[in-house]
Amino acid sequence: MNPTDFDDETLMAYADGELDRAAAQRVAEAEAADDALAARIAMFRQTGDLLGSLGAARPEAPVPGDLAARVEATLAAARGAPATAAPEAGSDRVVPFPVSAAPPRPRVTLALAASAALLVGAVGGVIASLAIRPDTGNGPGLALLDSPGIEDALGRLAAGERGAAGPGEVAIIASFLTRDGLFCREFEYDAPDSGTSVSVVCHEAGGWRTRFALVSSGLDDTGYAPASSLETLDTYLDAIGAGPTLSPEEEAARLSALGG
Amino acid sequence: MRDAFERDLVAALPKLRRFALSLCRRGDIADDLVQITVEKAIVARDRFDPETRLDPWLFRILRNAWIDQTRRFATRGREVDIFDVPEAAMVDGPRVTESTLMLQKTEAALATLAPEHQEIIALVCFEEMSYAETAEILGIPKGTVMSRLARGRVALAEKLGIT
Repeated sequence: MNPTDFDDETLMAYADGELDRAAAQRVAEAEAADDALAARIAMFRQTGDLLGSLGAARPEAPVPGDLAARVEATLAAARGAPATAAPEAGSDRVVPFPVSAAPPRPRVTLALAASAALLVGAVGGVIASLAIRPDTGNGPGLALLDSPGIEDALGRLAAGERGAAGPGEVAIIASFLTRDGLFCREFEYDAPDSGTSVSVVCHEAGGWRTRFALVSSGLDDTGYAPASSLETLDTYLDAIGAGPTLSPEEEAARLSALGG
Repeated sequence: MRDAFERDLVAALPKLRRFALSLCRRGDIADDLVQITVEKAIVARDRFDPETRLDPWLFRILRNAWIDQTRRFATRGREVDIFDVPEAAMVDGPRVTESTLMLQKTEAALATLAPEHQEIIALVCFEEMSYAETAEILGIPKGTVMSRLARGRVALAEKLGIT
C-alpha cells in the first residue's frame, strides 16, 4: 500500500525512468526513508525487468520475402509518382499497388478489393463533395434515407445481413460506436437505377442521419477501383473515432432499444 | 536511392510485423496489414513530423488499419489460428535455469491478464514505446496508459508472488 502521497502511476513512472528530474528526486528521497514505499517501487522495477527480458526473448518476426518484395515495389512506384498528401475525395489518384508480384491474398483482403470495385468509375464532382460531409446530417441531393425501406432495413438487419429495401437491396456491413458514443451503421445500398452506395449513418435526435456517403452512378466492371475511395471512408471513420465492430449481442440490444 | 524516411520505414518492418501478429495472430493477415501500413504511410508522409520517431506513427497507422478491417468484416467472432509463441526459454543445454522458469511463469501469467493490460504491456515493455507514444498509438490519454499499465503490472506481480 502507498503510505505517502505517491500513487502507483508515479512510482511506476519513477521505476521506468519516465518522471522528470524534479519529481524523480522527490520520490528518491521518500524511497530512502520509507521501506514500504521502497518495496512498492521494487515491485514495479521487478515486473519491468521481467517483462523487458520476456520481450527480448520473444521471437522476432522476420519479414517474409513476399512481403519485402511488395514493400520494395510500393516504394519504387511511389518514388515515380508525384509526392502528395492524402488523396482527395473522389479524385482518381491511385496509390500504386504492385500487381503481378502480389502473392495470393487471403479472403479478407479479397473482399475489400471486391467492395472497392463497386465504387469504381463515375465518382463525379457532386458526389465527391458529399464524400466527406460536415456532421450536419442529410444534405441536398442525397435522398438516400428517403429511399423506401432503407430506414426499416437499418432498424431490423444485423451486420452481415442483406434485405430488400424498395427497389434495391441493403447490405449491412457493420455497427459501431463513435468516440462520442453515437450508434452508427455502415451499409451498402444497391438499386437498379441509382447505382451503388456505401454510407455511414448515425442514430441521433430520434432518427438516422447520413454522416458519410460515397455513390457511384453506375457500375463499371472493367475499371480499376480507386483505392482513394475507401481510404476516404477510412479517413472519415478515423476522424470520428469509430470504434471496433459491435458484437452481435450488443448490436441487437442497441437496435431493439431504438425500436421503442 | 532511399531517403531517410524510406530507410526508417524498411527498418521498422520486422517490428511492424511483430506488432501486427500480436493483433491478428495470422501471418498472412499480418503481412497484409504491414503492406497497407506502408502504403498509407507513403501517402501520408507529408504529415509526418521528422522531428518525432517514426515507429509510433507507423504503429498507430497499423493499429487503425486493423480496427478498420475488423469493423468492416466483423471478424471479431472468427476463429483464428493461435500464433504459437515458442517458449521463452533461454536454455543452455539440458539445464533449465531459474531465470528461464521465471520467464515461463511470467509468460503464463501474462496470458491470464485482461486484453487491454496485455496490449499496453506489449507496447510499453516489448515494443519499448514511451507512455506518451503508447497514448498516441492507442488514441487515449497518457494518464489512462499509465493507470492501465500500473494495474496490469500489479496484477502480474500478484500472480507471480512478487510483493
